[in-house]
Amino acid sequence: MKPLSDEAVARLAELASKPEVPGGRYDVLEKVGAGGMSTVYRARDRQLEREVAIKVVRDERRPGDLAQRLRQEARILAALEHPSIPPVHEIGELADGRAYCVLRFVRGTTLARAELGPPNARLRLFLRLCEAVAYAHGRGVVHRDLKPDNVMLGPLGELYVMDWGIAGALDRTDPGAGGTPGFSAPEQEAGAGGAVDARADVYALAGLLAFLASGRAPGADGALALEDLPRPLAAVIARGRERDPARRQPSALELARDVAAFLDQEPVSAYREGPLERAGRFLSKHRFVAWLVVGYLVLRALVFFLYRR
Amino acid sequence: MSKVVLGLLLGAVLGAIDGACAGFYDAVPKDQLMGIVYGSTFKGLLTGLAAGFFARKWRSLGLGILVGVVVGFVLSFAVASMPMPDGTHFYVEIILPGMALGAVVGFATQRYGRVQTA
Repeated sequence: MKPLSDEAVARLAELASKPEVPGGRYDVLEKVGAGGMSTVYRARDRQLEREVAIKVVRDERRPGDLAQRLRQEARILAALEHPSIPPVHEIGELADGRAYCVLRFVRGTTLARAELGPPNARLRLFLRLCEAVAYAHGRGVVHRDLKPDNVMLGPLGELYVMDWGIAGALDRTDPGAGGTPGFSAPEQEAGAGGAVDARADVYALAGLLAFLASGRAPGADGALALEDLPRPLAAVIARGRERDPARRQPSALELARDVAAFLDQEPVSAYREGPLERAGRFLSKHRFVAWLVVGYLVLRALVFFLYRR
Repeated sequence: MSKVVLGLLLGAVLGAIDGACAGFYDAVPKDQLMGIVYGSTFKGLLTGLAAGFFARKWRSLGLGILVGVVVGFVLSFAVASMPMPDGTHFYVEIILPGMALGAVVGFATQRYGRVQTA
Protein backbone atom coordinates (compact mmCIF):
# COMPACT_ATOMS: atom_id res chain seq x y z
CA MET A 1 0.00 0.00 0.00
CA LYS A 2 1.30 3.44 -0.98
CA PRO A 3 1.70 5.85 1.95
CA LEU A 4 -0.11 9.19 1.80
CA SER A 5 1.97 12.23 0.87
CA ASP A 6 2.39 15.12 3.33
CA GLU A 7 0.20 17.25 1.10
CA ALA A 8 -2.58 14.70 1.14
CA VAL A 9 -2.33 14.39 4.92
CA ALA A 10 -2.49 18.17 5.30
CA ARG A 11 -5.50 18.31 3.00
CA LEU A 12 -7.27 15.59 4.97
CA ALA A 13 -6.47 17.37 8.24
CA GLU A 14 -7.92 20.59 6.84
CA LEU A 15 -11.07 18.81 5.71
CA ALA A 16 -11.43 17.15 9.09
CA SER A 17 -11.03 20.43 10.96
CA LYS A 18 -13.70 22.24 8.91
CA PRO A 19 -16.51 23.12 11.26
CA GLU A 20 -19.92 21.61 10.82
CA VAL A 21 -22.47 24.19 11.77
CA PRO A 22 -25.67 22.56 13.07
CA GLY A 23 -28.74 23.02 10.91
CA GLY A 24 -26.91 22.71 7.62
CA ARG A 25 -27.42 26.36 6.74
CA TYR A 26 -23.77 27.05 5.93
CA ASP A 27 -21.39 25.41 3.48
CA VAL A 28 -17.90 25.98 4.81
CA LEU A 29 -15.71 26.77 1.79
CA GLU A 30 -12.20 27.47 3.02
CA LYS A 31 -10.08 28.64 5.91
CA VAL A 32 -9.20 32.32 5.46
CA GLY A 33 -7.36 33.15 8.65
CA ALA A 34 -6.30 32.03 12.08
CA GLY A 35 -5.33 33.88 15.21
CA GLY A 36 -4.42 32.95 18.77
CA MET A 37 -8.05 32.71 19.74
CA SER A 38 -9.96 31.56 16.70
CA THR A 39 -9.97 30.36 13.12
CA VAL A 40 -11.99 32.11 10.44
CA TYR A 41 -13.64 30.33 7.51
CA ARG A 42 -15.35 31.63 4.42
CA ALA A 43 -18.73 29.98 4.08
CA ARG A 44 -21.87 30.17 1.99
CA ASP A 45 -25.20 30.90 3.59
CA ARG A 46 -27.65 28.66 1.71
CA GLN A 47 -30.77 30.45 2.91
CA LEU A 48 -29.78 34.00 2.02
CA GLU A 49 -27.37 32.98 -0.74
CA ARG A 50 -24.48 35.11 0.42
CA GLU A 51 -20.99 34.63 1.69
CA VAL A 52 -20.34 34.88 5.40
CA ALA A 53 -17.39 34.48 7.71
CA ILE A 54 -17.57 31.86 10.43
CA LYS A 55 -15.29 32.38 13.37
CA VAL A 56 -14.65 29.28 15.43
CA VAL A 57 -12.66 29.16 18.66
CA ARG A 58 -9.51 27.11 18.61
CA ASP A 59 -9.87 24.13 20.84
CA GLU A 60 -6.29 23.50 21.83
CA ARG A 61 -6.13 25.64 24.98
CA ARG A 62 -8.68 26.83 27.49
CA PRO A 63 -11.71 26.27 25.25
CA GLY A 64 -14.05 27.62 27.93
CA ASP A 65 -12.27 30.98 28.21
CA LEU A 66 -12.00 31.36 24.47
CA ALA A 67 -15.66 30.51 23.95
CA GLN A 68 -16.55 33.12 26.55
CA ARG A 69 -14.40 35.67 24.72
CA LEU A 70 -15.94 34.86 21.36
CA ARG A 71 -19.44 35.28 22.76
CA GLN A 72 -18.37 38.57 24.33
CA GLU A 73 -16.98 39.73 20.98
CA ALA A 74 -20.22 38.78 19.26
CA ARG A 75 -22.29 40.68 21.84
CA ILE A 76 -20.08 43.74 21.44
CA LEU A 77 -20.37 43.60 17.65
CA ALA A 78 -24.12 43.18 17.92
CA ALA A 79 -24.27 46.41 19.94
CA LEU A 80 -22.23 48.33 17.38
CA GLU A 81 -24.09 49.26 14.23
CA HIS A 82 -21.66 51.18 12.07
CA PRO A 83 -20.72 50.88 8.38
CA SER A 84 -17.09 50.32 9.37
CA ILE A 85 -17.79 47.61 11.94
CA PRO A 86 -18.77 44.22 10.45
CA PRO A 87 -22.10 43.00 11.82
CA VAL A 88 -22.58 39.65 13.55
CA HIS A 89 -25.39 37.44 12.25
CA GLU A 90 -25.47 34.51 14.64
CA ILE A 91 -23.67 32.78 17.49
CA GLY A 92 -23.85 29.16 18.56
CA GLU A 93 -22.03 25.93 19.30
CA LEU A 94 -20.71 23.38 16.83
CA ALA A 95 -21.50 19.71 17.21
CA ASP A 96 -18.06 19.22 18.83
CA GLY A 97 -18.82 21.87 21.46
CA ARG A 98 -16.69 24.69 20.06
CA ALA A 99 -18.30 28.12 20.05
CA TYR A 100 -18.72 29.94 16.75
CA CYS A 101 -20.14 33.15 15.42
CA VAL A 102 -21.23 34.09 11.91
CA LEU A 103 -20.19 37.50 10.63
CA ARG A 104 -20.27 39.51 7.43
CA PHE A 105 -17.57 38.26 5.12
CA VAL A 106 -15.30 41.22 4.48
CA ARG A 107 -13.44 41.17 1.20
CA GLY A 108 -10.25 43.12 0.80
CA THR A 109 -6.89 43.37 2.40
CA THR A 110 -5.53 44.54 5.71
CA LEU A 111 -4.05 47.98 6.12
CA ALA A 112 -0.70 46.30 6.70
CA ARG A 113 -0.69 44.90 3.15
CA ALA A 114 -2.78 47.42 1.23
CA GLU A 115 -1.54 49.90 -1.36
CA LEU A 116 -2.29 53.04 0.57
CA GLY A 117 -1.94 55.77 -2.04
CA PRO A 118 -0.69 59.33 -1.54
CA PRO A 119 -0.08 60.75 1.96
CA ASN A 120 -3.24 62.87 2.14
CA ALA A 121 -5.42 59.92 1.07
CA ARG A 122 -3.87 57.89 3.90
CA LEU A 123 -4.70 60.60 6.40
CA ARG A 124 -8.29 60.79 5.16
CA LEU A 125 -8.47 57.03 5.64
CA PHE A 126 -7.28 57.56 9.18
CA LEU A 127 -10.11 60.04 9.80
CA ARG A 128 -12.63 57.36 8.83
CA LEU A 129 -10.94 54.91 11.16
CA CYS A 130 -11.16 57.42 14.01
CA GLU A 131 -14.85 57.92 13.26
CA ALA A 132 -15.56 54.20 13.68
CA VAL A 133 -13.49 53.94 16.86
CA ALA A 134 -15.10 57.08 18.29
CA TYR A 135 -18.51 55.55 17.57
CA ALA A 136 -17.54 52.46 19.56
CA HIS A 137 -16.29 54.66 22.41
CA GLY A 138 -19.62 56.46 22.33
CA ARG A 139 -21.29 53.07 22.85
CA GLY A 140 -18.98 52.37 25.80
CA VAL A 141 -16.60 49.97 24.02
CA VAL A 142 -12.79 50.12 23.78
CA HIS A 143 -11.20 48.00 21.02
CA ARG A 144 -7.80 47.56 22.74
CA ASP A 145 -6.08 45.92 19.79
CA LEU A 146 -6.04 48.48 16.98
CA LYS A 147 -3.23 47.79 14.52
CA PRO A 148 -2.79 47.61 10.73
CA ASP A 149 -3.64 43.89 10.71
CA ASN A 150 -7.00 44.60 12.31
CA VAL A 151 -8.15 47.19 9.80
CA MET A 152 -9.45 45.94 6.46
CA LEU A 153 -9.81 47.89 3.25
CA GLY A 154 -12.46 46.74 0.78
CA PRO A 155 -12.09 46.89 -3.00
CA LEU A 156 -14.19 50.07 -3.19
CA GLY A 157 -12.31 51.76 -0.37
CA GLU A 158 -14.60 50.55 2.41
CA LEU A 159 -12.88 50.44 5.77
CA TYR A 160 -13.63 47.89 8.49
CA VAL A 161 -12.35 47.68 12.03
CA MET A 162 -11.91 43.97 12.68
CA ASP A 163 -11.13 41.63 15.53
CA TRP A 164 -12.96 42.92 18.56
CA GLY A 165 -11.84 39.82 20.46
CA ILE A 166 -10.27 41.64 23.40
CA ALA A 167 -12.56 44.68 23.27
CA GLY A 168 -14.14 45.59 26.54
CA ALA A 169 -16.20 48.10 28.40
CA LEU A 170 -14.79 51.58 29.03
CA ASP A 171 -13.03 52.22 32.34
CA ARG A 172 -12.76 48.55 33.20
CA THR A 173 -9.64 47.72 35.19
CA ASP A 174 -8.29 44.73 33.34
CA PRO A 175 -4.58 44.16 33.86
CA GLY A 176 -2.93 42.25 31.10
CA ALA A 177 -5.70 43.04 28.68
CA GLY A 178 -3.50 41.93 25.84
CA GLY A 179 -3.03 43.85 22.63
CA THR A 180 -0.04 44.05 20.33
CA PRO A 181 3.40 45.29 21.41
CA GLY A 182 4.12 48.61 19.77
CA PHE A 183 0.46 49.48 19.41
CA SER A 184 -1.16 48.69 22.75
CA ALA A 185 -1.03 51.39 25.41
CA PRO A 186 1.27 51.09 28.44
CA GLU A 187 -1.72 50.90 30.78
CA GLN A 188 -2.77 47.68 29.00
CA GLU A 189 0.40 45.91 30.06
CA ALA A 190 0.12 43.21 32.70
CA GLY A 191 0.44 44.66 36.15
CA ALA A 192 -0.19 48.24 35.08
CA GLY A 193 -3.31 48.21 37.21
CA GLY A 194 -4.97 51.27 35.73
CA ALA A 195 -8.34 51.52 34.05
CA VAL A 196 -8.21 51.11 30.30
CA ASP A 197 -10.35 53.73 28.65
CA ALA A 198 -10.74 55.40 25.26
CA ARG A 199 -7.27 56.90 25.58
CA ALA A 200 -5.75 53.42 25.22
CA ASP A 201 -7.27 53.32 21.74
CA VAL A 202 -6.00 56.87 21.14
CA TYR A 203 -2.47 55.53 21.83
CA ALA A 204 -2.97 52.71 19.31
CA LEU A 205 -4.57 55.10 16.80
CA ALA A 206 -1.54 57.38 17.06
CA GLY A 207 0.63 54.34 16.25
CA LEU A 208 -1.58 53.64 13.25
CA LEU A 209 -1.31 57.28 12.23
CA ALA A 210 2.49 56.98 12.36
CA PHE A 211 2.26 53.85 10.23
CA LEU A 212 -0.01 55.53 7.67
CA ALA A 213 2.03 58.72 7.54
CA SER A 214 5.51 57.21 7.44
CA GLY A 215 4.87 53.67 6.19
CA ARG A 216 6.70 52.32 9.24
CA ALA A 217 4.93 50.64 12.13
CA PRO A 218 6.02 51.42 15.70
CA GLY A 219 8.70 49.11 17.08
CA ALA A 220 7.77 46.52 19.69
CA ASP A 221 9.06 48.96 22.33
CA GLY A 222 6.76 51.65 20.96
CA ALA A 223 9.57 53.60 19.25
CA LEU A 224 8.49 55.69 16.27
CA ALA A 225 10.35 57.12 13.29
CA LEU A 226 8.86 60.57 12.88
CA GLU A 227 11.87 62.50 11.54
CA ASP A 228 10.62 62.67 7.96
CA LEU A 229 7.14 63.86 8.86
CA PRO A 230 5.98 67.49 8.93
CA ARG A 231 6.43 68.84 12.46
CA PRO A 232 2.75 69.46 13.24
CA LEU A 233 1.82 65.91 12.21
CA ALA A 234 4.74 64.47 14.20
CA ALA A 235 3.55 66.49 17.22
CA VAL A 236 0.01 65.12 16.87
CA ILE A 237 1.40 61.57 16.83
CA ALA A 238 3.78 62.23 19.72
CA ARG A 239 0.94 63.59 21.85
CA GLY A 240 -1.18 60.53 21.13
CA ARG A 241 1.74 58.30 22.14
CA GLU A 242 2.34 59.88 25.55
CA ARG A 243 2.82 57.24 28.24
CA ASP A 244 0.56 59.17 30.59
CA PRO A 245 -3.02 58.86 29.28
CA ALA A 246 -3.85 62.30 30.71
CA ARG A 247 -1.39 63.93 28.31
CA ARG A 248 -2.85 62.31 25.19
CA GLN A 249 -5.72 63.63 23.10
CA PRO A 250 -8.75 62.84 25.26
CA SER A 251 -10.66 61.08 22.50
CA ALA A 252 -10.39 59.60 19.02
CA LEU A 253 -12.45 62.51 17.72
CA GLU A 254 -10.02 65.00 19.20
CA LEU A 255 -7.15 63.16 17.49
CA ALA A 256 -9.12 63.15 14.23
CA ARG A 257 -9.79 66.88 14.62
CA ASP A 258 -6.05 67.56 14.76
CA VAL A 259 -5.39 65.42 11.70
CA ALA A 260 -8.25 67.12 9.82
CA ALA A 261 -6.78 70.50 10.78
CA PHE A 262 -3.40 69.38 9.46
CA LEU A 263 -5.00 68.27 6.19
CA ASP A 264 -6.76 71.65 5.89
CA GLN A 265 -3.46 73.41 6.62
CA GLU A 266 -4.91 74.85 9.82
CA PRO A 267 -3.02 75.00 13.13
CA VAL A 268 -3.13 71.80 15.21
CA SER A 269 -3.63 71.81 18.97
CA ALA A 270 -0.56 69.62 19.59
CA TYR A 271 1.92 72.02 18.01
CA ARG A 272 2.72 75.66 18.64
CA GLU A 273 4.07 77.15 15.43
CA GLY A 274 6.38 80.15 15.06
CA PRO A 275 5.54 83.26 13.03
CA LEU A 276 7.56 82.07 10.03
CA GLU A 277 5.88 78.66 10.06
CA ARG A 278 2.49 80.37 10.33
CA ALA A 279 3.31 82.61 7.35
CA GLY A 280 4.56 79.59 5.39
CA ARG A 281 1.41 77.63 6.16
CA PHE A 282 -0.76 80.61 5.16
CA LEU A 283 1.07 80.99 1.85
CA SER A 284 0.97 77.27 1.23
CA LYS A 285 -2.76 77.15 1.95
CA HIS A 286 -3.49 80.13 -0.30
CA ARG A 287 -0.69 79.49 -2.76
CA PHE A 288 -2.90 79.89 -5.80
CA VAL A 289 -4.07 83.34 -4.73
CA ALA A 290 -0.46 84.17 -3.79
CA TRP A 291 0.66 83.17 -7.30
CA LEU A 292 -2.12 85.27 -8.80
CA VAL A 293 -0.97 88.30 -6.81
CA VAL A 294 2.62 87.66 -7.92
CA GLY A 295 1.37 87.38 -11.52
CA TYR A 296 -0.49 90.64 -11.11
CA LEU A 297 2.62 92.37 -9.77
CA VAL A 298 4.70 91.04 -12.67
CA LEU A 299 2.13 92.40 -15.11
CA ARG A 300 2.16 95.72 -13.27
CA ALA A 301 5.94 95.86 -13.56
CA LEU A 302 5.76 94.99 -17.29
CA VAL A 303 3.27 97.78 -17.93
CA PHE A 304 5.51 100.15 -16.03
CA PHE A 305 8.62 99.31 -18.03
CA LEU A 306 6.89 99.11 -21.40
CA TYR A 307 4.92 102.35 -21.03
CA ARG A 308 7.35 104.35 -18.96
CA ARG A 309 7.01 108.13 -19.33
CA MET B 1 -14.27 84.45 4.96
CA SER B 2 -17.22 85.16 2.68
CA LYS B 3 -16.78 85.68 -1.04
CA VAL B 4 -17.78 89.34 -0.78
CA VAL B 5 -15.28 90.04 2.03
CA LEU B 6 -12.56 88.18 0.10
CA GLY B 7 -13.33 90.27 -2.99
CA LEU B 8 -13.26 93.50 -0.97
CA LEU B 9 -9.97 92.61 0.75
CA LEU B 10 -8.15 91.44 -2.36
CA GLY B 11 -9.53 94.33 -4.45
CA ALA B 12 -8.44 96.87 -1.83
CA VAL B 13 -4.91 95.44 -1.49
CA LEU B 14 -4.31 95.13 -5.23
CA GLY B 15 -5.93 98.53 -5.83
CA ALA B 16 -3.65 100.16 -3.28
CA ILE B 17 -0.59 98.52 -4.91
CA ASP B 18 -1.88 99.65 -8.30
CA GLY B 19 -2.24 103.23 -7.08
CA ALA B 20 1.16 103.25 -5.37
CA CYS B 21 2.77 102.20 -8.66
CA ALA B 22 1.82 105.62 -10.04
CA GLY B 23 4.65 106.99 -7.91
CA PHE B 24 7.13 105.43 -10.31
CA TYR B 25 5.91 107.58 -13.20
CA ASP B 26 7.71 110.89 -13.55
CA ALA B 27 4.69 112.41 -15.29
CA VAL B 28 2.52 111.93 -12.21
CA PRO B 29 2.66 114.93 -9.84
CA LYS B 30 3.87 113.76 -6.41
CA ASP B 31 1.29 115.88 -4.57
CA GLN B 32 -1.46 113.87 -6.28
CA LEU B 33 -0.05 110.47 -5.35
CA MET B 34 -2.11 109.91 -2.18
CA GLY B 35 -5.28 110.85 -4.04
CA ILE B 36 -4.40 108.33 -6.75
CA VAL B 37 -3.75 105.61 -4.13
CA TYR B 38 -7.10 106.30 -2.42
CA GLY B 39 -8.92 106.41 -5.74
CA SER B 40 -7.28 103.22 -6.95
CA THR B 41 -8.06 101.46 -3.67
CA PHE B 42 -11.70 102.53 -4.01
CA LYS B 43 -11.71 101.25 -7.59
CA GLY B 44 -10.34 97.90 -6.37
CA LEU B 45 -12.97 97.78 -3.63
CA LEU B 46 -15.76 98.30 -6.16
CA THR B 47 -14.35 95.62 -8.47
CA GLY B 48 -13.98 93.20 -5.54
CA LEU B 49 -17.51 93.94 -4.35
CA ALA B 50 -18.96 93.27 -7.79
CA ALA B 51 -16.94 90.07 -8.24
CA GLY B 52 -17.83 88.91 -4.71
CA PHE B 53 -21.56 89.46 -5.20
CA PHE B 54 -21.43 87.75 -8.58
CA ALA B 55 -19.60 84.75 -7.08
CA ARG B 56 -22.19 84.52 -4.33
CA LYS B 57 -24.98 84.21 -6.88
CA TRP B 58 -23.35 82.27 -9.70
CA ARG B 59 -20.71 79.55 -9.71
CA SER B 60 -18.79 79.85 -12.96
CA LEU B 61 -15.06 80.40 -13.09
CA GLY B 62 -15.10 81.77 -16.64
CA LEU B 63 -18.00 84.14 -16.07
CA GLY B 64 -16.55 85.23 -12.72
CA ILE B 65 -13.26 86.21 -14.36
CA LEU B 66 -15.14 87.89 -17.21
CA VAL B 67 -17.25 89.95 -14.80
CA GLY B 68 -14.10 91.00 -12.93
CA VAL B 69 -12.36 91.98 -16.17
CA VAL B 70 -15.38 93.95 -17.46
CA VAL B 71 -15.94 95.80 -14.16
CA GLY B 72 -12.18 96.46 -13.94
CA PHE B 73 -12.20 97.78 -17.51
CA VAL B 74 -15.21 100.07 -17.03
CA LEU B 75 -13.91 101.59 -13.79
CA SER B 76 -10.34 101.93 -15.10
CA PHE B 77 -11.58 103.47 -18.34
CA ALA B 78 -13.58 106.02 -16.35
CA VAL B 79 -10.46 106.91 -14.34
CA ALA B 80 -8.15 106.94 -17.37
CA SER B 81 -10.52 109.28 -19.21
CA MET B 82 -9.68 111.97 -16.69
CA PRO B 83 -6.60 113.77 -18.03
CA MET B 84 -3.51 114.67 -16.02
CA PRO B 85 -2.85 118.39 -15.37
CA ASP B 86 -0.71 118.48 -18.54
CA GLY B 87 -3.60 117.01 -20.56
CA THR B 88 -2.09 113.55 -21.09
CA HIS B 89 -3.99 110.29 -20.52
CA PHE B 90 -2.68 107.03 -19.01
CA TYR B 91 -5.05 104.65 -20.77
CA VAL B 92 -2.87 101.54 -21.03
CA GLU B 93 -1.11 102.12 -17.69
CA ILE B 94 -4.44 102.30 -15.85
CA ILE B 95 -6.77 100.05 -17.85
CA LEU B 96 -4.48 97.00 -18.26
CA PRO B 97 -3.69 96.60 -14.53
CA GLY B 98 -7.33 97.39 -13.71
CA MET B 99 -8.51 94.55 -15.92
CA ALA B 100 -5.85 92.22 -14.48
CA LEU B 101 -7.02 93.15 -10.98
CA GLY B 102 -10.58 92.29 -12.02
CA ALA B 103 -9.44 88.92 -13.39
CA VAL B 104 -7.55 88.06 -10.20
CA VAL B 105 -10.41 89.08 -7.95
CA GLY B 106 -12.96 87.35 -10.19
CA PHE B 107 -10.98 84.13 -10.09
CA ALA B 108 -10.31 84.25 -6.35
CA THR B 109 -13.94 84.92 -5.41
CA GLN B 110 -15.14 82.02 -7.57
CA ARG B 111 -12.55 79.60 -6.29
CA TYR B 112 -12.31 80.62 -2.63
CA GLY B 113 -14.48 82.11 0.07
CA ARG B 114 -17.61 80.84 1.76
CA VAL B 115 -21.09 81.20 0.37
CA GLN B 116 -23.16 82.61 3.21
CA THR B 117 -26.48 80.94 3.72
CA ALA B 118 -29.36 82.67 5.43
